[in-house]
Amino acid sequence: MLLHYMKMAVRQLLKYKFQTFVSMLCMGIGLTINGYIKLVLDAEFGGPRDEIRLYITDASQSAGEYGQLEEKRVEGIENLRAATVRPHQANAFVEGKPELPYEVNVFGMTPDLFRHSLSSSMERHFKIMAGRDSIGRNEVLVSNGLAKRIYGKESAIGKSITLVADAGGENDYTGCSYRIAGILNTGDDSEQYVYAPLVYNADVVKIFANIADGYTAKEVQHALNNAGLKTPDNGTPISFAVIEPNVMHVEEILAYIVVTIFSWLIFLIGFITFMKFMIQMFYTRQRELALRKCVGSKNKGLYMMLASEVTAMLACAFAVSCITSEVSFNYISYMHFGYLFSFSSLIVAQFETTLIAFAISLVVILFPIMRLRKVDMKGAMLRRRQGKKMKNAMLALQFAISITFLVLLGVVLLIAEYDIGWLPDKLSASEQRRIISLHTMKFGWDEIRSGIEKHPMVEEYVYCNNENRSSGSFSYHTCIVGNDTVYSGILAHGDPRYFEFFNISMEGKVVAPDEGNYVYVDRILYERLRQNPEFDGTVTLSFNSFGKYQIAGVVQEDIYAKERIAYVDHIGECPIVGFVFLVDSSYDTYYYRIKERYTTDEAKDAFETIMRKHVPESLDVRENIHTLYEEHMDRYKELYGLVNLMYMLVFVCLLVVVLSVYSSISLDAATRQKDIAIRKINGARSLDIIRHFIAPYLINYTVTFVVVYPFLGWLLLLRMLNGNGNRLTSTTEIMLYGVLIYLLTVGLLVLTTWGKIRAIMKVNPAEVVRRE
Amino acid sequence: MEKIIKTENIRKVFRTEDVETWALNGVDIEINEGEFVAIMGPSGCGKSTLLNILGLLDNPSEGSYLLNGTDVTLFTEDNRTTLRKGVIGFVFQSFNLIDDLNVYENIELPLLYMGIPRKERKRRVEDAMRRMDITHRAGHFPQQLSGGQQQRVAIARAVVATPKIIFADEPTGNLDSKNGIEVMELLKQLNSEGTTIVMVTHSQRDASYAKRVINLFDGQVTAEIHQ
Repeated sequence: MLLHYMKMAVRQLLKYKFQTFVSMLCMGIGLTINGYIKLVLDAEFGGPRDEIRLYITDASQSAGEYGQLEEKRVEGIENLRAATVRPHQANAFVEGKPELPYEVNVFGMTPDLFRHSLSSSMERHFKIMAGRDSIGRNEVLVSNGLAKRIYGKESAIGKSITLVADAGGENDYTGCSYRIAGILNTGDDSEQYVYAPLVYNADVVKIFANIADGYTAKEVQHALNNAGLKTPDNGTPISFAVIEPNVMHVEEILAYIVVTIFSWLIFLIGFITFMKFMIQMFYTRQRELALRKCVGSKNKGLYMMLASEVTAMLACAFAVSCITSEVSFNYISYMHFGYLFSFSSLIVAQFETTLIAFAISLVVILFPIMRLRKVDMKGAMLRRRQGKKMKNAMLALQFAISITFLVLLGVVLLIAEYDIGWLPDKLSASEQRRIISLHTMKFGWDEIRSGIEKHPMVEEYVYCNNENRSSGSFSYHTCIVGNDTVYSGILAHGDPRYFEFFNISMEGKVVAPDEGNYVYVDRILYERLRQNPEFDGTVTLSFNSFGKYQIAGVVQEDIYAKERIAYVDHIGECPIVGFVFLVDSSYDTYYYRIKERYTTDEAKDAFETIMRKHVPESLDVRENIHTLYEEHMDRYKELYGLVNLMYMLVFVCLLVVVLSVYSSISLDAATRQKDIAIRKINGARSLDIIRHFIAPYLINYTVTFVVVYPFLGWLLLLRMLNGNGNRLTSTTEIMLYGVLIYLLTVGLLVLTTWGKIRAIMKVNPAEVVRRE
Repeated sequence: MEKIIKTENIRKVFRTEDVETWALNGVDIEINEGEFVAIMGPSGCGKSTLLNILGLLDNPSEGSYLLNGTDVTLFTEDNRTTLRKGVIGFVFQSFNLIDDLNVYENIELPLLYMGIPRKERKRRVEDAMRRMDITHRAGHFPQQLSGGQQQRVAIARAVVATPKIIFADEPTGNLDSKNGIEVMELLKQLNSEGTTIVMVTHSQRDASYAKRVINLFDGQVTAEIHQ
């Protein structure tokens, strides 16, 4: 009998090939995305519950203080371990090759740091990929990127490296030789890390531990504070704060719940398409089910038949999800998510969700079967109508989910626009691609600079120092005129040709960089300074010990309006009035505009060739050559990543919704030929048929939109975004965005279903009647 | 009497990949306004095909067809639909009611597509139901009705728009003799009120209600009998 049911299931699914394919695809996509989000959440929030972070509250949290703690062996804590917060810049040398330095960042660690889970945002996802997870006295762990760079495909385990402090400085690792004990997968090959034995000096450390069985965090904190530890320098008692980082706080729980809901919404949107098809198919087969009952099938048999179809469908959907995972996993790895989880764990997560879906499906298909018990005609009719109601409710839920994601996309885009708006740049993307920026290098910089400046590809160049163009963060100082003190942001120090180079309109004279004591101010600051009767064209800046500066020019445009507004929020009582540019002849950043006839890649190659002559071959020079555009993209890569992710989720949602509607309409078209024919015979024109088929979907969408959007618009766009005082949206903007979303979705629905609707319009009633 | 239907050399071919079947092979018929015509013949002789063409559900492959003086041979689907509205009504052997609509809604359907206001629709539907004696079934769905009742609903739907012609394809084919006679009496009454009836039938008894019988064989008119 089971074989019969399976045969029937396959036959039934093949009967509606397209709809089956769409249902499986939607379900497969839902499973895949749900799997990804679930694993990312597990990776982010799933740390060990007994791990604690120890903070020394009234001292420097230095390695020296940690050393005392280690010696004391406080009751209630175990697996005490630590790592330095900031790295030492150093050069690593391989045995026998003293002329080849490798730039590395050296962190100090206790021997067993990586033996237990870590709550540190940086190291928590590092995994030992070769060798040991602990180090001995003269051993180090190195990042995979560094191991690859030094040794290529050869194993780095057991090899020796010598560390020398960078830029002529001294540190505790200088001159020490270490044997590589293990390789850390940091998820990013550009990270050149060395984890060496912790030196008990003044370096700030982060301290990790586990709570021993039978103890609480409070008891541990009490024990630590009573352990009698004192600072090494002046002997004052040390007190501790114990934080349980993996015990989620309210905000984290909320974030966890919200993301979990989203992951299940994505799954739900696929699952609904799947269930809608199953239920729709069930209601179009009343005759077959009745016939089966007539020839002796019991409800149990009918249930088994439907269960077989669900099983076959879900098995195929799981296969589809495996394929989409396989295709997408490489992309996700490229986005540096891959190191959070393995492909096999993704498949396991999807399988678990499939099992949940299977269990839900088995329950859901019980309802139509139970209703079949009432075998009367009116009941059958009402059931069919109820089936439609259920289908419409499911569709409405899908619409609501897609609207939610479209609103979320709006939120992310607004945040991105707000954040990315920090870049004080009037240059277009293509202009930014033509400017290459370089930072001072340790080896042969004067020769490199001179070579590049003379290169025929370079059109013009400008130098500056402490520039915020790529960092996006501003330092601010006071500007004083007489008794009037205002705050101003520092735009940059450097060569005044800066304005012309970056196409910033400036009124005034361009002074020589070495003339000194000159500044440029923007129009808003200038107008404010002028209000003071004592203003004589000079200003005293708190920068550089309250030196007096002559204003050489005024930047005409208020190109930093957003920054000023943001600083109003940041420093409240003392808002930033404007920005100053200090004339200076010491530089650390160099901009080169490339002539239009050359490509950026050609220029980069030429720069690399010049730099290569002066920089040891072990150091990567290409990594230091960036266009302005690349710097911008690199700075905002997480935000752009989030925007891309939202675009992807919205795309998936809309795809699933549109496919779902398309599948419904095509199933309608296949099963309601008689209905169409009768309507046509009775005078329905093509337009009437279109209205009849697409109107319920449009009405459903419109009603859902009217109910859902105002709430989401108010909650997410208006209340949440504007909640912290940064006015990002207005009611009019929300309404316009709503209209845009509505038209976009309706347009998509009409466009994708148009072909099917046309086919329905062309149904020949005579043929249908003849078939009947 | 005005000629309401006139066909000249109507031919209809059905083509599949291998076979070409001529369902109609040069049919010339003329029907006057207010006539009751029965089309008879064995199964597969092309009766229903002819009825579909006359009822503007299908186009002939060749020949010309004048309905109410208008050449409709090359009319598009939408043009045919427009012309059908309020002019032609259909009654089928298998009733062809929409299962999801109740009796009232089924009858209302042609009026809905004609764009008649709700009040007027209600009046006309109630009138048609009263004439067919199915008022008490207004809220029922087709599957809750007997065959005779369903056919009454189908006739009510056909007449609700007061068409000039009713095409009936074996209207009693699925009914017992009592219900069959009732349906034929209804058609006769409609004809007496001025509606032209064109009916396809196998039944001599049903054909006896018509004033003229056209015999069809192998897609050709073989005889016309005036009764």
